[in-house]
Amino acid sequence: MSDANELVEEVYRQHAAKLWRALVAYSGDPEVASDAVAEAFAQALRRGAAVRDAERWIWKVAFRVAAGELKDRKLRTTQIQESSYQLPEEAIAMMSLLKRLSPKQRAAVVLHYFADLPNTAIAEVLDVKTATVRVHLSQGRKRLRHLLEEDDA
Amino acid sequence: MPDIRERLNVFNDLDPPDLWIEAQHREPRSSVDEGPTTVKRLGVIAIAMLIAAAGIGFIMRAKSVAPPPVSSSSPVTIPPNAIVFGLVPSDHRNAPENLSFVQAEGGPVTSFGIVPQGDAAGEAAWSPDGDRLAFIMGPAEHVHHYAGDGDLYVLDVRRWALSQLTTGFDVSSPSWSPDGSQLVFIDGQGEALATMDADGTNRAVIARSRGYYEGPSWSPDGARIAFQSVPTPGNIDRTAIFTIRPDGSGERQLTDGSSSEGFPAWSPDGRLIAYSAADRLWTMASDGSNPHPLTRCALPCVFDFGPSWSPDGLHIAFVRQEDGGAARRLYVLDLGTGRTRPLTPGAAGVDTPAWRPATPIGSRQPTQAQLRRAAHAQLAEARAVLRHMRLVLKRERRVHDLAVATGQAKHALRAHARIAFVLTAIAETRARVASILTSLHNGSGQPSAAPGS
Repeated sequence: MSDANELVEEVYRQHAAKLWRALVAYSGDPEVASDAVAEAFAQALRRGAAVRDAERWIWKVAFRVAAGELKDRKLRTTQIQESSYQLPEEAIAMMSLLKRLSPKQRAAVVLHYFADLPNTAIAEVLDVKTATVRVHLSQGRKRLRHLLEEDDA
Repeated sequence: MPDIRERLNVFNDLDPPDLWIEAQHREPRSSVDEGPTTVKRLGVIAIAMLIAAAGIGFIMRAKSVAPPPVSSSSPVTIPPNAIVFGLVPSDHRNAPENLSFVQAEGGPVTSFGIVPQGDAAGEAAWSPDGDRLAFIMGPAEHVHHYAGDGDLYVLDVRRWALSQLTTGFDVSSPSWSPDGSQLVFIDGQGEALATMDADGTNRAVIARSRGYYEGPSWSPDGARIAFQSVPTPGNIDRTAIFTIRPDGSGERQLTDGSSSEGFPAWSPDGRLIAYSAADRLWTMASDGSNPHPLTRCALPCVFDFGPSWSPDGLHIAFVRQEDGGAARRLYVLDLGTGRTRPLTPGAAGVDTPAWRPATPIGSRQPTQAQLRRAAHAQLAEARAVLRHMRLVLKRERRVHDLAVATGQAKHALRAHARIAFVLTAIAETRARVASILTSLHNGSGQPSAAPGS
């Protein structure tokens, strides 16, 4: 295995679990998350040394694959899909609240509060300016807090 | 107000499927691209990297004109307090790796120019008097594929004379005895811990039973050698820090191996050991008690390692792996303020640093005023940590009460565990504040030693 592929494997070992969970939160569908993770790592392995900063690149491609998949399936506003994957109730409840944010707001919130990425990294993953990330984040945060308060009440 | 971070934690309970095998075998979809802006951005990054690499290449070429016979390179003046390290000028692992130095205050990176084309050098260690530099050198291909193994060399920087101490490309990680008469190093491509006299005679294996050894560091009083090894021989998934006497007797395990501890480095006064664990740097007392985190490693940082103390014990040079592991960059941590600053460009790949002793042994202790300043800074930091932890405690207690009230047993249990952890941390920090205060009252400025050290 080449050095580049070893690096991709290392990224997989360290980040795949977090990436997959973030994608479940973002897409609301474990199947979409699994497909996006496998696809992003497959592409990174195929491109080998041409990928600089494998970790950031994989996050970006995975989120892009998941977003494309959601668009294709027109899943963005529909209910959580039936899945072979058993999800705990709290996760399903949280997912249904997240679904009420716009996709970019949702991605920004998940990447910031769950994946702990800095805003510059979120900007790179979502391919927007850092200032735009701040806007998505503040709107998403406000809306989600409101939804959570409603839900708690 | 609902805590979003806390609520999103529910996703941490999900168990991800193993997708690695699928990733290796599936045919990537060609339709997914990164979009034009990203391609453009990557292009710009590539050009910037080329420029950066060319710049460093220029610095290196300027100094290393005549490589082959190693002794013929012209002497380079290395200032006291300079930090020496092996350097790959880009993130390409097979690029030539030369010994270089940078001043602790910053400035240009200067190459020694003693490494022949096709070879790599690194893992440098200064003799305690700062006159001789031990390091590992060998064919680049070999050094990179065998975890830094090569041959052991010593460069006398006053006479600019190089001597080769071993052959066979199977040693790594030298460290000097405090009197400068011996070296400890890793022998047999990581299989054993060995010592030899500084002239290359009397090579002797002192430990081999654990089957895996790395990164030895000789204590300043000469009594013990700290090293990285495995708690369970044969299982290299977990590493821990051990010490042993120079004759190979009295092995002690200092850390439990729960977070891959490694890269031990004794402080100049011998009371602390800096090391790497769970992606960042820590210190502990020389008996393994009182672990205390030193750095915060958040993206783009992925791993801090290879600590090397400044001669006055007030700073630590270390390597920070950034950009998903692609770049290894030299940083200096100010122990007084807790601030870190980079010393090399991001595109470079640096090897573990070695801080040159500034003055002969004996006059190397920090002044009382420096110690008092450092103690005051540590006190302020510890108090800030305490304030923060009290807030965390308050929040966790609220979470706990809420979980109990709403019958969410799992959440309550978890909050309870976090509360216990925070309480322990608060007790430890309080003890630290008390110890710093006592030392300030005694006028030493140096926190009192941990029990047993």
